[in-house]
Amino acid sequence: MLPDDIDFIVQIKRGDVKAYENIFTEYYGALCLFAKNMLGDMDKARDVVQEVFVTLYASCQTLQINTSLKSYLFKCVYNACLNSIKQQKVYAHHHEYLKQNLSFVDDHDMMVRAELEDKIRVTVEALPDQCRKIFRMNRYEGKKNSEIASELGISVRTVETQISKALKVLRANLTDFLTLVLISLIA
Amino acid sequence: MNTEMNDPANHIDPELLVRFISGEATAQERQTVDHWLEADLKNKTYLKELSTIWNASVSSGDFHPGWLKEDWSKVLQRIDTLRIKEPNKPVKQRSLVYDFTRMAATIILCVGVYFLIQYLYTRGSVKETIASEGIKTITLPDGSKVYLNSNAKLSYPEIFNTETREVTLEGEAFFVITSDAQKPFLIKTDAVTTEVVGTSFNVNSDNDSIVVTVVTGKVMLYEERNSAIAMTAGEQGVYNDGGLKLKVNDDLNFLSWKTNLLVFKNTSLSKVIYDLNRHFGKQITLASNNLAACALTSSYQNQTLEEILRELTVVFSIEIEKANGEIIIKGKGC
Repeated sequence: MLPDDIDFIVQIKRGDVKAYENIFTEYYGALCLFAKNMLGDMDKARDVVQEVFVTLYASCQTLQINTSLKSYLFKCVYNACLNSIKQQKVYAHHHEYLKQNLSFVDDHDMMVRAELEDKIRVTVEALPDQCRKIFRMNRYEGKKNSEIASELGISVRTVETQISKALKVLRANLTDFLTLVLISLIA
Repeated sequence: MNTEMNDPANHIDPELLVRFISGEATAQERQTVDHWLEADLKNKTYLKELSTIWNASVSSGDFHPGWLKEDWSKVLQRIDTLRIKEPNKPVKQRSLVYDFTRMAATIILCVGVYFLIQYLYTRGSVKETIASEGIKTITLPDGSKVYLNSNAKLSYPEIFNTETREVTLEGEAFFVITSDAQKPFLIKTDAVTTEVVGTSFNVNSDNDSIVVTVVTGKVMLYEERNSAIAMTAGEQGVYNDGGLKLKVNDDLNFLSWKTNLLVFKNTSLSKVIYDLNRHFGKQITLASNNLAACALTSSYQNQTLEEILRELTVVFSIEIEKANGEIIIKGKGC
């Protein structure tokens, strides 16, 4: 376990809520994206991840973590999602959803994917205002570059430049991840 | 980072690539990109990286950053409910660190034969009371009253034996003991026994140390290594790894949990917030050391923390900032 992890565990066992909040802030985004990929619904995903955090706190005395804290958290959420899927008795539907929407079924790959998404989210949030706005309009709102240009009263070329700037920053921030993801995707 | 020479992006118009990835490139533009891809493996990798980011970025918008705060509050609320339900953990967080290593583990309580005989042979059935829902008042078989603070636990017999009146305490309680010179009243906490004749005093065995503060009457405090101290009104016996010590009680507010009265007489602001933290179970801190010099003379009976803080902002020209469950006091100082 990483030395930071051990500090965290000790603090959680002592009931240190502030330390627990730090862990929450660090991993909540990625865990929600992960759960959303499994469940297909962001609201359900948030509920599941919150439940995991509450349960984890309650059982903090008997906590035995052999891997990293991060892996442990993802594993907990993974299992919680599987339970949720089974409980809802729509397993067949979700099985199809999983097969169609994910090119990988292994939970490790999914974890990497969720982390990538979360890292992107954080990087995008830190982009300069105009750049961020344009990127979001394209990727999150699904707008075409021409639509964005007319909405903001700027040229299409400017929109494209801003997006390519965003991609440059993202690529720079995500080099580690990209190698990882590319390896697992292979093709 | 790639050097200028090797950066694939240099050999193609970045806006063209954007159009390509967005699916908005013309047929001719797509051809240009294909040629560029064929030209070098690095270009293929570069595009692959951009596509991965491009595809993943759609989902990244599914999580709104505002949820971090919102959802944490929900989790915190549920965790707090769990903490209150757990027995033997203080509801009012008097210390910022929960200490699970109790003194009892390291100190063996050796009660003299005098107590031992009574304990083994003449005790009747034992009652146990836990103040799980706030302060609890217990009337003992001899008419003595015990006010248990939240989550404190008192064990006492249905009938006191002939020689002594004996109870066991975990946590904090205030005792008002009926006078009986023939039958000393004994309170057992982890390592210390408190003996009284007829008197009122507070026993706090919450933290690493055991503190007995006398309000009226006289109290004797014993510890297993045969040291004992006698205390009268206004005095305090403290037991920690240094042994037993007698102090003059300078803590005006040690009973605030019971009386709901907070009194400050030229009290430094750092002590003020210590007492407030203890009483309300909050985490108030001073932003700078200058503030510790501010002295407060005031008293508050049954007032909320908000009301008290409001008064402080006026008296000392300070600002109250709330962040992450903590309350921070900011100001120039005195």
